[in-house]
Amino acid sequence: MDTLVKKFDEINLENRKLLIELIKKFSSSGGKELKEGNAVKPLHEIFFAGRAIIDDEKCIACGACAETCPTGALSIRDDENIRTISHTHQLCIACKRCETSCEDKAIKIEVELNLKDFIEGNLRKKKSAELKLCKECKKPVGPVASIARIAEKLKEEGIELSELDYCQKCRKWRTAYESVPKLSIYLQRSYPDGEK
Amino acid sequence: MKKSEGTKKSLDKSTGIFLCSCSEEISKTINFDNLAEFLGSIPDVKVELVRHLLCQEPDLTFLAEEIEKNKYQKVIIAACSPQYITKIFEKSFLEKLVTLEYFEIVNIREGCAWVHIDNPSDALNKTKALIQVSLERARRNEKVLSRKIGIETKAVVIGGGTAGVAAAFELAEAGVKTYLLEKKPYLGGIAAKIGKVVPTDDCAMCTAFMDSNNLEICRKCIYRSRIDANDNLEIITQADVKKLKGSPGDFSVTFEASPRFVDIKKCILCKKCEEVCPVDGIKEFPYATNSRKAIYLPIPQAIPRGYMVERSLCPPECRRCEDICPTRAIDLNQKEEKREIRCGSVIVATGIEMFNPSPLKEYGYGRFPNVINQVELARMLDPDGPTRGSVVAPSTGKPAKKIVMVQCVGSRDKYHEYCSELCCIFALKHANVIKERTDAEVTVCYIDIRSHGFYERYYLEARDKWVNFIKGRPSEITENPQTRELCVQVEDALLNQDLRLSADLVVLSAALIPSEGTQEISKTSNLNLNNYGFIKEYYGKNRSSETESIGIYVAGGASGPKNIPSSVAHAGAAATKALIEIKRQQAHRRLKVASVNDDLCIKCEICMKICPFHAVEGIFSDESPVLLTKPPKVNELVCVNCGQCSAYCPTGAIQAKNYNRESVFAQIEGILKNNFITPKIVTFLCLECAYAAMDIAGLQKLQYPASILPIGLPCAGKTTMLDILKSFELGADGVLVGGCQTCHFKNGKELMITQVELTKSVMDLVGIDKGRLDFFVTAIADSRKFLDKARNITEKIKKMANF
Repeated sequence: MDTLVKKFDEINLENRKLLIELIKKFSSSGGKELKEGNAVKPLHEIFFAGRAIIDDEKCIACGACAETCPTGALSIRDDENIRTISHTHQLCIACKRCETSCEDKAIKIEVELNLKDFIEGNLRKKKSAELKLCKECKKPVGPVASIARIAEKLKEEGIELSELDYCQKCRKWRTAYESVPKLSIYLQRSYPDGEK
Repeated sequence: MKKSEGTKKSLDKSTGIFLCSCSEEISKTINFDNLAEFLGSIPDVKVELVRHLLCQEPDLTFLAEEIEKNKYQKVIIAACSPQYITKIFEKSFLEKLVTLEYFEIVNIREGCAWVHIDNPSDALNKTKALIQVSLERARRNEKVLSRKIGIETKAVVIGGGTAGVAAAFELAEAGVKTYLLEKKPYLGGIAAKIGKVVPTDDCAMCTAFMDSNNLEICRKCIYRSRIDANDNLEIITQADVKKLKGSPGDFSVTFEASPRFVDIKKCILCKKCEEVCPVDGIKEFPYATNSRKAIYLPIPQAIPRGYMVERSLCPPECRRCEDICPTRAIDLNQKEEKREIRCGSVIVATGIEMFNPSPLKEYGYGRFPNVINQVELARMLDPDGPTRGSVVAPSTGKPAKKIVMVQCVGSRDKYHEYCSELCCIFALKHANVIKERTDAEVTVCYIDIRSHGFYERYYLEARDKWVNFIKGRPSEITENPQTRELCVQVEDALLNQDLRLSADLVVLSAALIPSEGTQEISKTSNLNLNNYGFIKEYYGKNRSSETESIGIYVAGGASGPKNIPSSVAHAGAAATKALIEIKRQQAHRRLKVASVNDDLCIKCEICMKICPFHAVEGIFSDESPVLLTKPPKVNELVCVNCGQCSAYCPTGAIQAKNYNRESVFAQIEGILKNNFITPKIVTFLCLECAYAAMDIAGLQKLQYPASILPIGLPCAGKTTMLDILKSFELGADGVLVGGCQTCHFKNGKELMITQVELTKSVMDLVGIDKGRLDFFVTAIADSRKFLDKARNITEKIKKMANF
């Protein structure tokens, strides 16, 4: 799966950019050094900036939140067999689309402003989950918990699929083998090994 | 200014500034020669001669002639408050000569000359700054288009209770084609179930209607006036509203009407069907003495007049009623009907219902058969009701001898904190009726008897009739399982004594809550609710029959508990509002509205959530019913250009018309540039109350520091941290933000306060003294608040070291 990390400059958060520039300017001339954990909470819930809290037990690392995040504040990174979900405070606009998209209510956005992170754009790791690897090619298929959820839902419908153990590419090949054996033999001949 | 110069550069000098001395009122403080010289140095500006009274003839004619002669595209008039003079200019020449957006009035009398009398040099500086702000604004303003909207000439009233009937009747009488949708099979709502109502002590169906076709006869009840015979009124019963959408002047109401199985027009009420119907013994309450059949007349006075069939009770294949009907009115194969009506106005009159007090376990409602509520008692007292007017103990069916009423059950407590208004009078009336008809002993346990106004007579009457009153909320009601007799435990707070009252009937005056229909309609139509779940009025003081969705009105109990007289009055007001809207037939709307730049939009939906009027509409597809996939659109008829959306848009994709980010920044720059006043305090004021409060202070010539440099914004909620910090960057020594006591755009006040407090914290962190920023909220009449803050912040900043 592609990584969804976007850079601040790539996103058109014009108002946000101007604000950060202003705060940077004042903070450097004011001579006050920003410390960790200087979080400021607004009086009321407003759409401004937020900190993501992910419930480790509920989260299955499906990545729906990052998909729906309009600014790329939530990002996914798949390395080897570990998926990391991170949150960039600087990009977060507290729109809470991630909360809407999360089926398990595992993610929560706490509206607050943490000036250091806000200016520096630090990436905070929020969740790491084990990835299931393809039986065939050993490439990641998806998070273990997420795949288990899919299998469970399919079971409720009365379907059991062995395809869940394989990555998208290998899945296609397998389907091709099973449904049209002759064609697959032909394909195998035309594309020996490695291409699988 | 010489003429030769003027002709040579006439093309460049596209902006004309007119200075009004206001019969020396302004010029005695402000040095106009100096001012004219300064303004003349601005490249594209021509300063006209100073006139004494621009708002009156002959100067008005002079103004029009000059604008026409010099072909000014933009005109700035420096005079008094726009509140007084805008209309004068609009009437005399504005529409013909200049586009409204390119015309600015600078308030240099109330805003400057009158309030800085002792400080002419600062007053001059401030005048320059204010004129520069107007110039910046006029330069950036865009033309506002207008649109003609046709308005549908029909009206829909949802809910056929007291208020709904009254509103629909008024509309139909006024000649508007009106559709009255009622969920039940007959009109009248709760009132139709009650035999006798306050304050006239007669039947509820009297709602004082007057048939305009028969002026000589004042027909006062819906039964006799036959409102269903009105050509303009179509009554649709058993209708369930599924969808209500659209924009002002063009709504669409979709509903499903369940079949009645009887054609109202053909039914002659001969009762033959009822006689042959094999299904018998259906009772409204278990203790009812009368019963009905599967085909029945709901109530004798029912409008529409006709039988109906409860089809679910019919035995299969039974067609007896259909066969015997002499007029062939019955059709047992009738199907559900789905319809859509387009209309110009909608009145929501979905009413109230009684709270089910079973969560209050100590009172045993639902467990003990002899504990009932006031509506059930009203049914008993109705001569046409289930017990034919006698008050009985449900367990035995015998007349009740000892009756205890408990007030405020579920209201003024943890269930509903409000007072339901009607229950006291409801209970007193019932106590009186019982005393009139029987010799039963009646006791009322109350917290306070709230029989306001003329209703006090019901209390006096009850006392005279020896109804017992006990001040105290009963702690528990217990039942003797054998005899079903009840025991009410109550502490009499006046005698400081514990009492145990025995009773064979306990009546709970349960809270009045939004009806199921009210809750449903708020979901289907996106209507806002108040804290208690009733439909929120547009403005409680003087616009209580309007909802926050423009073009949808509310009548009766849907917006809060109301008795019959107030419901009818409220309905009349709603009908008038709807009528005004419809009778215009065509509306002219200046499209001064926010707009979305699709390229910048990241579809975060914040604008949709923040818009107080739901004017930003997203289109959701079936694939993605919750999350937006396309940039949202602004409904031009609903948007009021308050700018709250633009304050929270992270990209600047949505911008209020003529108050976009660049324009506001330019205004801040304009007010601070070449300004020698110290300290300089940029003051963002909501153009509704806050700006007007400053105006009123000016009118009274109340002095405040010239440091206050006002910039008008459509709503204080539009002020953002960005605007505030930008002001500091551009050289402001302080920032003051002013909002309204009651925000005209709902949340603006809270949004502004939140932003200011947040900005203060940020300022603290980055090393700006947070005392440099302050805010106030005020009503127009309370200009003292503005003055206090203005003086206070100026003093504070003067004491601080230079920024």
